[in-house]
Amino acid sequence: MSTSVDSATRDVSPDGPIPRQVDESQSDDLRRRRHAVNALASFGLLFFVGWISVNVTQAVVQGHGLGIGDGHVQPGQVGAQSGHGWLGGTVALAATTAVDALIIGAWAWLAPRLRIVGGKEPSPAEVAQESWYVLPIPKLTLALIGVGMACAAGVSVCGAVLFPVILIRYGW
Amino acid sequence: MPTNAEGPLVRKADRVLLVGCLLVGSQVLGPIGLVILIAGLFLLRRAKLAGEEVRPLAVTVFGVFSIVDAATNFLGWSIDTFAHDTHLGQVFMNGFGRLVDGGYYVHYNDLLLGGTGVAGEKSWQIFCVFGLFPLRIVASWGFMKLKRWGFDMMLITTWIYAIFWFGYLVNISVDFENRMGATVFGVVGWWVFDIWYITPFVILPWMYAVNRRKWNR
Repeated sequence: MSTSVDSATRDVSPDGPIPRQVDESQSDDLRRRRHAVNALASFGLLFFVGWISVNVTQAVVQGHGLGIGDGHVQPGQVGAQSGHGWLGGTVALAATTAVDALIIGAWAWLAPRLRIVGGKEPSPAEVAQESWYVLPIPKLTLALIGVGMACAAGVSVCGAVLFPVILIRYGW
Repeated sequence: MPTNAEGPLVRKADRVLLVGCLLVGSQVLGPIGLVILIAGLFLLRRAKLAGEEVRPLAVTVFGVFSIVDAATNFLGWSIDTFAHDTHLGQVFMNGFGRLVDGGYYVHYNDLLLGGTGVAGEKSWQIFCVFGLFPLRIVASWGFMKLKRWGFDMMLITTWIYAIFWFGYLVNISVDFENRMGATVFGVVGWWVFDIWYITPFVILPWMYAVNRRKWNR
């Protein structure tokens, strides 16, 4: 499959240069890939809409209303939260951090050594002339960037409010 | 003549972005991390204005998003795996359980490996703490630095993560009564908390539209 794009046909998007027009009729591969990319993007949306619908249905069927804040905590299931004191807890958390670092370090050592080399690689100068995209999808890319930014913000906000809410509601 | 090296301003911006990712991944310091992430994006813009070669915005956003997602999950599940006996771990996990996911207080610490009382959840945890999430953090960093192995590992972990989502939702849905059904916030609470971790579904279609040869460092 060809990845070269005539520089005269380039446009600019938030992602840099993109091919303004790719004649996909010239390439079955590209046309089939566009179908697959659209299918993947649509499936992602349908997957979550579908599964949320299933869970809401479960909530209704099992007597939880619509599942909006009308759940109930099972009584007698929360055991004593004792731990091993400040010192024991600190040692355990420090050990957890060390093990985490070790696991990440092991993968960081392994992954770069598993670079797949296949035949003659193009020179940086050649690659610099090529488009970032073999399939121009500027609208989908913009939408996905927006979703990505929103999700990163969502993770950050939900993560930050969780522990304070737990402490306020259930104490230390 | 184009070279393959990144400029000093880009390197500095990437360090700032990594710090922001790790702070967001710590959960408690999330908002501070978010501000630092935004500062990192501005530094990248400054690098571009200074004439340095800067990767497309999508690469940065998806790389950062993936690190944040993986780091947050990795940290939370590490605590449940290794530090479930600590007071902090129990307060956090049992509180999270009562609010969002009953699997983190019902029969908590009753199983052989401790932590969550749901065997299926524990197996996903071990899989993700030792395999998926640390590899994804490493892969996302390599992806952002335009390493070929970074692109390849990103693609591999993205597929694994997408399939993981499917298995995980089956796991939690078949035990609905003890999971979403046994919490204060119910189904909506669980989804409001977890919907943000959809990185694979966001990134996967895009990865098949880009030119893989650009990841040639």
